[in-house]
Amino acid sequence: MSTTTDVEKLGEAEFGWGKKGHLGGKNKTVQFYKSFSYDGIKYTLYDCVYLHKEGAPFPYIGKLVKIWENLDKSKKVKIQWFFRPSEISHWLEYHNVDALENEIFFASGEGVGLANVNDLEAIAGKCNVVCTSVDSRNPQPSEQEVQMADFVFYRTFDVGSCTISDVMDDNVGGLAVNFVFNRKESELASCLNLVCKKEEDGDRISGEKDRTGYMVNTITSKVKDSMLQVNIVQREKSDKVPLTSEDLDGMDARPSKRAKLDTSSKFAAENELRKTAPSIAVHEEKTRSGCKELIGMAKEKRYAPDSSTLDENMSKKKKFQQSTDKIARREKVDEDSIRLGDGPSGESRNGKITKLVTSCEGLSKEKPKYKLKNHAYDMGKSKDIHEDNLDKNGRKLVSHNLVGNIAGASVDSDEKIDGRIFEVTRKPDVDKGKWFASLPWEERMLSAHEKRTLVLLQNLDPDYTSEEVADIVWSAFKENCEAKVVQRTAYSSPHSGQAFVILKTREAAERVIRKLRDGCLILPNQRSLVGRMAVLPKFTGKQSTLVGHLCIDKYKLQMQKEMKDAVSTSHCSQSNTIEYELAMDWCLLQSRFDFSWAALYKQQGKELKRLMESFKSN
Amino acid sequence: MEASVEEYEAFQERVKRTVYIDNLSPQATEIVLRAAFNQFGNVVKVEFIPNYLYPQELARSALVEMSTVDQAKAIIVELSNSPFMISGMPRPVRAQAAAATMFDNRPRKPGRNISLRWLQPEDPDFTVAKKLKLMTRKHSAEAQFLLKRQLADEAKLANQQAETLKANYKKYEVADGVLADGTAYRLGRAYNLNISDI
Repeated sequence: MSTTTDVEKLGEAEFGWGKKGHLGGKNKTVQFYKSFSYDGIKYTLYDCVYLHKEGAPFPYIGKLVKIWENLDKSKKVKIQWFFRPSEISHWLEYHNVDALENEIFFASGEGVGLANVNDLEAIAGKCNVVCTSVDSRNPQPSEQEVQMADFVFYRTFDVGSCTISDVMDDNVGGLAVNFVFNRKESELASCLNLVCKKEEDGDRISGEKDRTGYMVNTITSKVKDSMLQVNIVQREKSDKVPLTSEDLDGMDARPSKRAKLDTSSKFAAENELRKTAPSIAVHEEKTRSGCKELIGMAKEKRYAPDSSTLDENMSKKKKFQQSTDKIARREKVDEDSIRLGDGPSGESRNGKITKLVTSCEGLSKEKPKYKLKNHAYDMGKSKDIHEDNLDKNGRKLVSHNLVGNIAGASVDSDEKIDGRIFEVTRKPDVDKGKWFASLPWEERMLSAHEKRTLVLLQNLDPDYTSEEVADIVWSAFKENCEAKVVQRTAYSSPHSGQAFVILKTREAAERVIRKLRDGCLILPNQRSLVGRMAVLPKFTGKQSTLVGHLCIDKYKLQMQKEMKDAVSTSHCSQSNTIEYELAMDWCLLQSRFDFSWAALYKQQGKELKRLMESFKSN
Repeated sequence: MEASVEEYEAFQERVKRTVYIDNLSPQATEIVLRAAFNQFGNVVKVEFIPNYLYPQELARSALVEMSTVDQAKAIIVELSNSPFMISGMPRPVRAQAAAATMFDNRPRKPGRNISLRWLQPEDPDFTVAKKLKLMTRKHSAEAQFLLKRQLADEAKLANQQAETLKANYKKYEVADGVLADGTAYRLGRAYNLNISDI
């Protein structure tokens, strides 16, 4: 799907300007607007919207701060951004700030990441963001509003100084503060259907329906437009199609209601899931072909985001260990629904539904947490499937489900170890959407070392890349991590690659090490992975010179100056100097050790080979 | 996302243009290295290889990417023929051809699938795998030991050379001194030698 066709198609979507604003720009060539409707949704200045970006795992969230049309009829919007905690996770960690589950941060200050000008067509839907700032200028939202909100915010993230603050100045990143806060009631009324539903009667289900209702026209057209729009906000999408089929409605509303209300009761959620899972399964039976398949798909999608929300709820309780998993899972789901939409053939979709059913059935039996993980995991893999030949699908599916199950099992009970082979899959990208350079690896590694979440893996294939190592950890332990392979130097072993892995918690690190110690994880070529707590050498401050660089005291100062000015920093030695003689000593020493290293590694290679031969499964 | 075949090939070409330099002083900054290797061609990129595992006294190493493969080769030949010193002497730097695994951000090898397997304790290979793990640890300990030896020997050589240098310097200083304060002339006259020739 090329971007150009994307834009073209979108261009066909319904569009209309609303209230005109002033003219601006050079020669008054730019027409500003205060509102517009796009794809059946009315947008007003200072609305919060989702923005889709190709390749981004989540839609971005931002506030419309300017809307205009250029002379060449290109429609532009200026967006001031909200940040998801995952986008600024390093800074949250750095400042030791905990973010709420659905909290986002408004961009303030000056610098990259504050605001951008985007094509209007990039808007993917409206986002219900409520400001919960206790500031007296902020019209306080009702509890219900807060509950209904897709996201809440009360803090800002300064993009210049990378700090987080809950104090709103009169001017937040160039935007007057009253536009940052919630709208006053009067404005609210005129605003949007989306918000209207809040004022109805607290009945979540009907609210939910309303919302789906208003999105329907958009979406049906989009569906017709083949799957282009699939990239659009997942929530919107999942809302839309169910309405085309009556029998889906109840089901449609239910999970989302549950997801939002049942923050407290895990068991209730579990029950709900049990109910949902079979019904999906049943439904799947019915929807084998044609447009019904589409519905099934939609339901799958519908189901998918909900399961992640559910997970979210649970992970609240286990926030410390699980919060990252959640994001991971949710993203997987995201990816999946995109994929689904793209699917060129019904067959592969069918396959996916079947798969979903499999995992859902599992769901009803088992604790949802693990299974959901599993489920998301499968979904991630449908990407691979998708790229494969269709006739391979069946087989692949089976193996992938298997993988999921094994992986799930290994999470389920620590000690359970399975002998089956499973493939390494891509780890979901949690820290995607990097607006800000994260702390340098070295600092993160040192802090992980202090927190004892730094693990050193050994006996990897030296060829693996850092991402592959992270994927291995993800596949084998279901732990999200950052990995960095130790770059090879002249002294590195050619047999065993090493990698640093930063895990999210100390428990996770210990679990990984324990499992690697007690069990044997076999990588290709019969490599048995070794893991241990990484012990970094003590950093004894910066070394100023290298051993073997000599200097006559008297000239030290002069030399240092020369070095600073980079006057004479390198030269080839002439063979008639003392320096040359001394250099030869060094060359001799170097080659002596080169031989030692070569001999050592050759010997080690022999030992390894001998041991490898005793592998029975060869 | 998927590292394409072309991307990987481009990377491999980059590896060929790159020289691995080690025995570098901490004072050899990127600017210094650029200046040093621009003599051989055109430096495209300098990247230091961080050392997280080994003691800090270990010499630093870097990857220097040149604009052509020939330039890279020339550096390796030149530096193995005559000792080349950067930011200090007499310990020369060393150049080797770079390997893909030395790079930090390298693309995935296209089409590589990694499969994993947890061995069950009753599996006959379980003990072998356990032994393998032990061996890995042993080998890494051996390597650490050798490295320690090497660092110790380097320090020893450095001390030795410092002594030699000091002695040599003293010798020259004495020679200079006797010339400067006229002692040499007086002695020369006493032995009927013409000192001004020296």
